[in-house]
Amino acid sequence: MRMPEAMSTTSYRTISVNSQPYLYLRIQLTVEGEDADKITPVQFKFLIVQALKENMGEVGAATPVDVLKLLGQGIALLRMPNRNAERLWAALTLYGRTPSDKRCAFRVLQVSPFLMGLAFDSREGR
Amino acid sequence: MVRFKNRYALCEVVTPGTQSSLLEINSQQVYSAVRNVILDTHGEFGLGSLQFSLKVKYLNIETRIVIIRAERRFFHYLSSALVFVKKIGVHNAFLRTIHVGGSIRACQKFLIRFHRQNMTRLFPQCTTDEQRCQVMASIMDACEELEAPGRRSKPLELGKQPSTALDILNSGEQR
Repeated sequence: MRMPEAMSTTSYRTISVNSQPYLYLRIQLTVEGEDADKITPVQFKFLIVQALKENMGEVGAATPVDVLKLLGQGIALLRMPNRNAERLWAALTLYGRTPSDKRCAFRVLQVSPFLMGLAFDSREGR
Repeated sequence: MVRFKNRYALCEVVTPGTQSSLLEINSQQVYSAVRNVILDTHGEFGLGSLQFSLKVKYLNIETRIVIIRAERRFFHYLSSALVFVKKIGVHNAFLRTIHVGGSIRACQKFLIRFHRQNMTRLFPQCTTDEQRCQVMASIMDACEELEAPGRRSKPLELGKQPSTALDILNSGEQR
C-alpha cells in the first residue's frame, strides 16, 4: 500500500480484516517436579502432539504445528494454521497429565495472527 | 421446537477370508468397535460430540447389514471413522458404507433396492438347481412385495410367474 504524499510524515496503522493463514501462540509449559529449563524441543513437541492426540484423535494430531522457538522457562513460540487453531488451542489447554503420569499444564500467554505481535507483551509492564 | 436431526449410515460388514460361516456378532460389539474407532481417530472431542446420538439401530447377521445412527451435525466424524474399523468382536471385519440416509425408512427403502439388485447377481453363482429355485423364489417374493407394498398376497401357483421377476432373472443371467 502506498501512502499519499501529505501523510508520509505521520505515523499510520494497518488494520487487516482478512483472516490470516497462521496463528502464532506464545505458550508456557509447566511440568510438576521438573525444571522447565531442561525441557528439550523434542519433548516439547511430543507433549503437544500427545495433547492433540488425546483430545482430537489421530486426525487432530496430523495437523501441522510448528515449534518456532523454545525460549527459557518452558516458554515457546508456536505456529498453527488458523483454520484449526481454535480446536488445537482447546486441546492444549485441556491437557493435564504427561504419559509418565506427571501433572502438567500449557498456559497460553499471547496469541496473534502475526509473529511480530508476539514481540511485545503489553501485560508484562504492569 | 427444533427437530433433532440424525443421519443413518447403512453399512455392509465385510469379513475377508471367512465367507461361509455365520458371523456371530451382536449390536453391542458393533457399537463398541465403532466407539473405539471414533475415540482413536477423533479423540475425546469427537467421541464426546457423537456419544449422545451414536446408536446401532439395525443389525442383520445373515445379510451382514448394519445401520448406525449419529447426529447430523457431527456425522462427518462418524463417516470418516467408519473407514478405520478393523475388528468387530473377535472377527476381522471392516464396514463398507453403502448408503447414508436421513431416516431409517429411507435406508430401508434403499436396502430393498440394494438386495433386489444383488439377488440377480446371486443367480449365476448357484451350482445346484435347488439353490436356483431358492433364489428365484426369494426374488419373486421380493418383487411381489414391491408391486403391492404392505400387502402380502398368497404364494404363487406353480407355472404362473410374474413378468417382472422373469425380467430381473433374465437381466441377471446376461451379466
